[in-house]
Amino acid sequence: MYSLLMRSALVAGVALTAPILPAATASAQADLEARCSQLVSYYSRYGSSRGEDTDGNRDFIRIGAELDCQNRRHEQGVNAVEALMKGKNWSVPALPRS
Amino acid sequence: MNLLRNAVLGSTAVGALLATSAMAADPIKIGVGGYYLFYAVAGHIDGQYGYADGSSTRYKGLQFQQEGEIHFTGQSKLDNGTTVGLAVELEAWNNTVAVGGSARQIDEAFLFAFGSWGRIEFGARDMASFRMYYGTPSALPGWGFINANTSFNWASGIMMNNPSFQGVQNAALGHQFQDANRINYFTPRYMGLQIGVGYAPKMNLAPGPAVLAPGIGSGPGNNTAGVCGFNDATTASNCPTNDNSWQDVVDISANYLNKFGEVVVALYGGFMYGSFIPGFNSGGSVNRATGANLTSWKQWAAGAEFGYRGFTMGGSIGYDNNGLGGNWYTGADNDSRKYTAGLMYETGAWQMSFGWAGTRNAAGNGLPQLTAIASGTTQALTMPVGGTSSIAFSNQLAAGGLTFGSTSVDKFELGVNYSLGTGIKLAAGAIYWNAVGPTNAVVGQSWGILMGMDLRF
Repeated sequence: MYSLLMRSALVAGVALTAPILPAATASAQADLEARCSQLVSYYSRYGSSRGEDTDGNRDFIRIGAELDCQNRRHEQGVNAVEALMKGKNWSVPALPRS
Repeated sequence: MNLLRNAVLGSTAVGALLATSAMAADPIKIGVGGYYLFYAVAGHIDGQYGYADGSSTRYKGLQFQQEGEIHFTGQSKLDNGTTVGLAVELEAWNNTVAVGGSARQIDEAFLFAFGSWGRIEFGARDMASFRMYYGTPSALPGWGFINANTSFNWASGIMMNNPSFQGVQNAALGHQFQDANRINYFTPRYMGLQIGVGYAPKMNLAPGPAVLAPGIGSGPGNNTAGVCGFNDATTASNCPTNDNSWQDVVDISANYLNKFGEVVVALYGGFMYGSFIPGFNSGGSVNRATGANLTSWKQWAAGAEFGYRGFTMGGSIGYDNNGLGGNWYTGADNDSRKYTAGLMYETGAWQMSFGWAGTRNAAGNGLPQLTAIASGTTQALTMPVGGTSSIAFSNQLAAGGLTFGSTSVDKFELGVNYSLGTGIKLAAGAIYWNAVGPTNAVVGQSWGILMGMDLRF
């Protein structure tokens, strides 16, 4: 009886959370996408002055991070730009307000 | 009554339009940004000598150089997803007074719009194919190998006179045509590929290396603010044709960006063509004594750049006919062939690079001798060119006899920078130039050690 009750509760729980989990995942993906876009833009903006040396928009670590984000490897891209900024003694900008 | 109703309907329609516009997006608000670069350069530049009268110029071994711009930029996103904005760039220094007495105080001024359909720019803006470039990396802000439109040189007047000099400074396309009124369009990037195209109605500026264009030139009034074809932000009420200028300048380029494992790949190719429209008076576009002549302006470049775990390496090749045709009498061309390659490494707050650029030019129009120099700050060079073919093609060098032979310029650059904080860098480096040619009007060597700062705000 106990096991039947537990099984029923588990099934009910799964049934209830099933529609919620993908939505949460999608939201987290959207947040990461926005974060990646924010960091990449910020690094492009302040990484280079005239824009003709190999930094800012032309930095290949930044370019690689942007490509990661475009290919849905958002976490990898965000981590790469954050590490780039920290390594260069930058203040990493705060998360954008949703 | 009808008039009143129409007026009411009209005002309602205008009101509705305004309300729609106001609700569609926040109004454009201008933000201020920009950059500032400063360097102290110490080293040596070979002097230059006029052989006919012994006049000369010597150069100090220490020089302070700076460059900066204040940018005013604003944009607004419409409900349809397109963002519309403008940018005006004010020089943060007193720029060189150009031909015609036009000081370049506003560098670029243009309108832009972008969305899922790509990006369009209209106004005084760099050529699309210039900005699409990928090739040789550099860690030396403001220098490097695509540093168009800057005064960061360390060279004598005659070294800069060398027909190959500009090539080592500008590996990409269109450095002569920076910031003229034009329209650019960039496609969205698809599968790593992006295409950029541009069009400028007219370019009215001096042809490539002046030393290869004796007695000829575009114009009249080339590169004057308020004249159509000016090489910076300007406006003009009309645009004359048949005046020895380059018109309908079209450029097209593509680049490809992708990442394979940990390797980032960037490839670039671009082409530019500007039709030469001669004047009704043939004088100006042809020198019948020397055979020098103006023609349609053609350029192309191709480059590749790769990044892997902090290393970036790349290079490019390019071609520029400098708007000059092959010499009427010798048949030899005046085209610049450009080569460059470099390697950069970055770790933590550091970036460091080493690069080379070399340009070769056959100088088919022949080169004059440097006979005299107005010594002092102006460095005006006297380089006589024969007014008749019998003198131009003689060995009467002091009277204007030309000397024939190829020219070359090689540049080596070592660069290091250290990031102190967001948009703040210390920079240092070393540079070496070697300009070679058949006469004393184009040769020299220089080397320098640099230290400076690079600020972005």
